[in-house]
Amino acid sequence: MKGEGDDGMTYLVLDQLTKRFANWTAVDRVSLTVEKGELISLLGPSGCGKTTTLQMIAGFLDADGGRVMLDGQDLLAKKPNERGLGIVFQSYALFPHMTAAENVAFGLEMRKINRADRDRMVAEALKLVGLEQYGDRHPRRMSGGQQQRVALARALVIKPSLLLLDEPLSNLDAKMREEMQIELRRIQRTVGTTMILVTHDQSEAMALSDRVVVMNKGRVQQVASPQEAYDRPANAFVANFLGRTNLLPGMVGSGSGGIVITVADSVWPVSQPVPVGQGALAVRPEKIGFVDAGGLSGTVLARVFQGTQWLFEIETAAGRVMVIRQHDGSPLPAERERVMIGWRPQDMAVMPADPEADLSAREAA
Amino acid sequence: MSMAASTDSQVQASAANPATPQGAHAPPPRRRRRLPWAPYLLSAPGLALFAVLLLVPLVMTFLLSLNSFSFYGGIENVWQLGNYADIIADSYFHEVFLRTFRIAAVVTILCAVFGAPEAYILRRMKSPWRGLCLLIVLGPLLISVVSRTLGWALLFGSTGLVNQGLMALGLIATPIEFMYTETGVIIALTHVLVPFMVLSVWASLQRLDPQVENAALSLGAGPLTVMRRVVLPQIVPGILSGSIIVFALAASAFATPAIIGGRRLKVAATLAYDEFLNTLNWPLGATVAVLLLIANIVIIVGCNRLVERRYKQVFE
Repeated sequence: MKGEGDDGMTYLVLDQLTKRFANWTAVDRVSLTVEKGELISLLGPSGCGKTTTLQMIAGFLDADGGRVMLDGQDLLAKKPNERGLGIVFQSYALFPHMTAAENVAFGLEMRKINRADRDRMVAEALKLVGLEQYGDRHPRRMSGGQQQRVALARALVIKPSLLLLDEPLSNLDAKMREEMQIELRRIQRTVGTTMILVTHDQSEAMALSDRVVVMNKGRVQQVASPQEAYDRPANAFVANFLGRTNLLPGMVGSGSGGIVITVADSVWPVSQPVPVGQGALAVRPEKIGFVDAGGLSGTVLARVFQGTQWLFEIETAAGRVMVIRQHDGSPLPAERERVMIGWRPQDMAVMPADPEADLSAREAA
Repeated sequence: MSMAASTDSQVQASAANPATPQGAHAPPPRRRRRLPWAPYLLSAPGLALFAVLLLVPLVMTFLLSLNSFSFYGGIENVWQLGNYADIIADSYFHEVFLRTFRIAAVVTILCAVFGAPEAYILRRMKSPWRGLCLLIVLGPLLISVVSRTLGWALLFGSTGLVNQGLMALGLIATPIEFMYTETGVIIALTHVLVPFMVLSVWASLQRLDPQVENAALSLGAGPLTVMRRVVLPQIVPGILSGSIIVFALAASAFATPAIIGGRRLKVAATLAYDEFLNTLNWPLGATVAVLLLIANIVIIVGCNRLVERRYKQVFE
């Protein structure tokens, strides 16, 4: 967690936010600080508590504990219609009996903004999302992507102090989704609104956010920039959830030059503070290379040509390892060949063994 | 018949052609012969039932309404519009028809006023209570109309439970007349017909995205504004179809006005009944029935058009 509350930039603070349902805790003491203008993603599998967290910020669910401070004000004390947040729903939740322009104007009407200003702001908002021609259309006559844009314009036009996006792109097809990702990023840059995006799609979170909050079972697993979370996952769950990874069991111990982790017949220096004992090592397939000495030995089980790259599966004493090599003409081992694989110590992440995470890692493999 | 025959011939054709190796798996070549009259053929039984049980009696009633009647000659097989002229000229009939539609209109409005919020509240209830309350709402439909209405008669009497209760509470000094009054008929009919409104509003609420209300809240609308600007316009089709059912049933209701309203407070349905069975003036009774039907259709279609135009977008 980036505890940067002192530099005066902290805008939104979630403090020990908790939501309990009858027989499980959906959100368990989630704490988070968000800076002004930041786009942050709550990322996790379904049921991890990300949507529940968003609903509590929006006020549609009451929190059972903790605080939410927005710009120094206690958000939980306010009613949902007094919070002044913009929300984009997964289903878009447009008003079907109103035109696109009427939908966008609704929030301004509620703020009693006069007709002339309202019309101007609605036109600006529709222009921002590229729908200036579609103001008098009804949602039913618009495509999913267009409805999505109307929902975005409707949420942005009220100049919200915070924009919450609940799985905004999950109902769009793949091509549309990519377009909207770029669009969303552009709009965020233009208007500079602080945004919280809830998604289960790791590539979406990576593409859009300044920081990702990886959640599982109601708890925050890691808060980091996308690259950092990808390269140095805090634990096995994050390593597995963000892209493909190799998770190898090992033993952390003190060596001559500091802490090391021993994985089968190889020893790697550890730079992170990790408790001594059972541990695990995570390394991305594309970060592994074939080396002559000082690595983990194994046998090539299979190799698959994928056009731009080769995919190898190596059987080692520590388990099967996935390796990706670029198809750049360099010599590569054949199937059933004895090989030795290695990686730079800075490309791996070491974490304490977590029996539960280990199980889910094996399921994912 | 011929459809079955064509299917048979297809089966035979594919059976007689075992030359292809995958003959067992490949579907027979589809020679899709269009049978333009097949839909009509398939719906023929339903249409026949409809014609025999509804159309024929209606036409016969209409023809009957053209006959004339005299006390000594009985029904005479002549074709004339005398009955219609009689009804149009007589203020007694005006009063009865006016009362019928006044009752129906008030009942429809009351059903909408109670039924629509009821459906909305029911939808927001939690699981065990929702089923229970729905059962209570639908309850009146499960009880025979006669016993239910007699129950009302017991409650409504000048020494009935309602009046005794109100008098015990000191709210009224003398009993309110419910029996043989429009008030009584309206209360009883509303009670019976409210389930139809609840069910049809319920159906349109099912199509409402629950997030839409949250969206309106987040944009700064208070709960009442959300109801008025967002929920209500979207359930108008449900209220309208409920109103049509309630109005039609209220305008042609017989048992409730007959028991609560009695012989003094006649509505169109009890009037037609009396003409048929007491006065034995079948042609006049038939005329009343035909006029009731026509007035019903005119009012319902007219209101329907009006509301559909007003809320055009919701109906698309």
